[in-house]
Amino acid sequence: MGNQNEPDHSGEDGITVGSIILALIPFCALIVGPFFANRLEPRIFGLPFLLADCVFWVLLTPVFLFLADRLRKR
Amino acid sequence: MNSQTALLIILFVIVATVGFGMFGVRRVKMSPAQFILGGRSFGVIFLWLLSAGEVYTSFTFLGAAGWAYSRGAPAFYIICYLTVSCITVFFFMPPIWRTARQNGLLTNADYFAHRYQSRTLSILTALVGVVFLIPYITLQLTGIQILLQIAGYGAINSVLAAGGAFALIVGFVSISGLRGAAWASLIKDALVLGGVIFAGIVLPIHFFGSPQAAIDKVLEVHPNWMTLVRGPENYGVIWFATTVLLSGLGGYMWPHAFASNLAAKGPDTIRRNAMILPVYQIMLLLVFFAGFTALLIKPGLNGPEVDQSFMLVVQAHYPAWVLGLVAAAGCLAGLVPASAQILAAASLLSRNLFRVKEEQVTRWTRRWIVVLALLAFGFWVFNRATLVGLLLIGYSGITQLFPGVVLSLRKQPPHAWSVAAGILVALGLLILFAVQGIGVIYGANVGAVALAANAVCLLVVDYFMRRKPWSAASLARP
Repeated sequence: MGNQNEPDHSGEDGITVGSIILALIPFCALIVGPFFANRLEPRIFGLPFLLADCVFWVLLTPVFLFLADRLRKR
Repeated sequence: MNSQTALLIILFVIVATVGFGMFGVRRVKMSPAQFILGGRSFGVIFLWLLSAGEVYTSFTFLGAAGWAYSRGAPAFYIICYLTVSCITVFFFMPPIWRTARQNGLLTNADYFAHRYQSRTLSILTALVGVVFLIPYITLQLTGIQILLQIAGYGAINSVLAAGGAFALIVGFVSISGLRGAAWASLIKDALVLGGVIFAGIVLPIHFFGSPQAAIDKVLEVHPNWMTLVRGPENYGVIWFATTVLLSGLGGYMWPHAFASNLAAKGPDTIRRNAMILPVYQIMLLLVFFAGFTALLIKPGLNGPEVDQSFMLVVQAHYPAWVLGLVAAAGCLAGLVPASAQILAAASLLSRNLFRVKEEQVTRWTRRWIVVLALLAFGFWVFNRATLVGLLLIGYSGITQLFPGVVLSLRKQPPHAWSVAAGILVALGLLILFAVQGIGVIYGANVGAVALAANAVCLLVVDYFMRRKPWSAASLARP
């Protein structure tokens, strides 16, 4: 039943729908991406396309999380 | 002569790191919160050092190269899942941190006990944490032993040497706690960065002119090396997606990783760390290059030997001092995470399984560190062959705590028994799959299948617990 006296913390971080959607973009891309990016060509900076796709989303994740952070209510 | 040079460098680096860590915690009084969580005072830089220090283990240092060497594209999952972990941490850890801070919670089992008001659930989650951490700790020992064996050019007993290094770091963490581990991470991260740049950039340039050329060469010999198998095969596309999901959700369920976030100064520190940590994964790209280079220079390694791939290249083609430095980086990559892991497991034992009095937590956690270290070492000496299999079960197992953690964030969390039922069903399934030798189901990682069963079971049990009015009164405090 949980601790009924627990103060509710969920509002304190000011998470908004917008911030969740922004964070879900790289989340889904990293998990679903390989189904679409499972190719060798085109090579990007010499990397096979699949690896380049992974690296691309890894590098973009900080950007999306930064924007998600901006969209929090403070 | 060669073996002496390399081993002396490793010895010097490990002793220097331990000394540096001890220096960092001089005059710090070791209350339980200080010992286990560094006094919840880590700012962005310190938290980043510790998190990077914990993620980058000997599995990543040797294992990622080994996978790039032996499997190719499936290895790419490692950079993806660590990033998925960061996204989950961004949302889930700040509210958990607040609850933990307000109620003096130190471990993830403390958190379960508090949020679900259930000692049974706290014991179950503590057991899951300890049981799955032990193979993870022994895996670090294997990594260290491989490095010492290569650096010793076969001249020393590497099992005993690994035991010695392990004893040193265990003694260190039992004195200095989490803060000491974070200080040690500073040297470790710097040295590993150097080692990885050498292995991932200098090696391919030396042999092929550039990392791209190394990839071209690999593709000439193995045209399918850089893409995943389609369809429901093991290590195919479906396996990749489900493993990224499973390991991504589970990454911060590990007791030591959970603790590192509780050690943060505040929610903003956690969020900022989650934002910058993915950039660190790019180092793994270089580890893949090292594995590809080794595949071309020293083909034909099999089984556990693949983890030695790029180190054998360094041993064969570079002077002993280079080998010593790279191996020292690798040893720290095993020792520093092992120290944080053993600290987290020991704190689960002293606080959650045996519930000693608050003022004795530090003393008992120190004792448990020594007991666990001996256990892990003994387990490792007698049972080294099956460790990779155990680690795969480990990730599948630890992630089963995820549904309970996420649902605890609701204003009205589910019933403790439904969370426990979900975890037990999932563990039962995992044991069944392991006994039957099943690795994938329709291409999906078995851990992800168990996680789905866990979630369904949790929701179904919770539904029935809520529907019956008598249950709330009689079972509310199991």
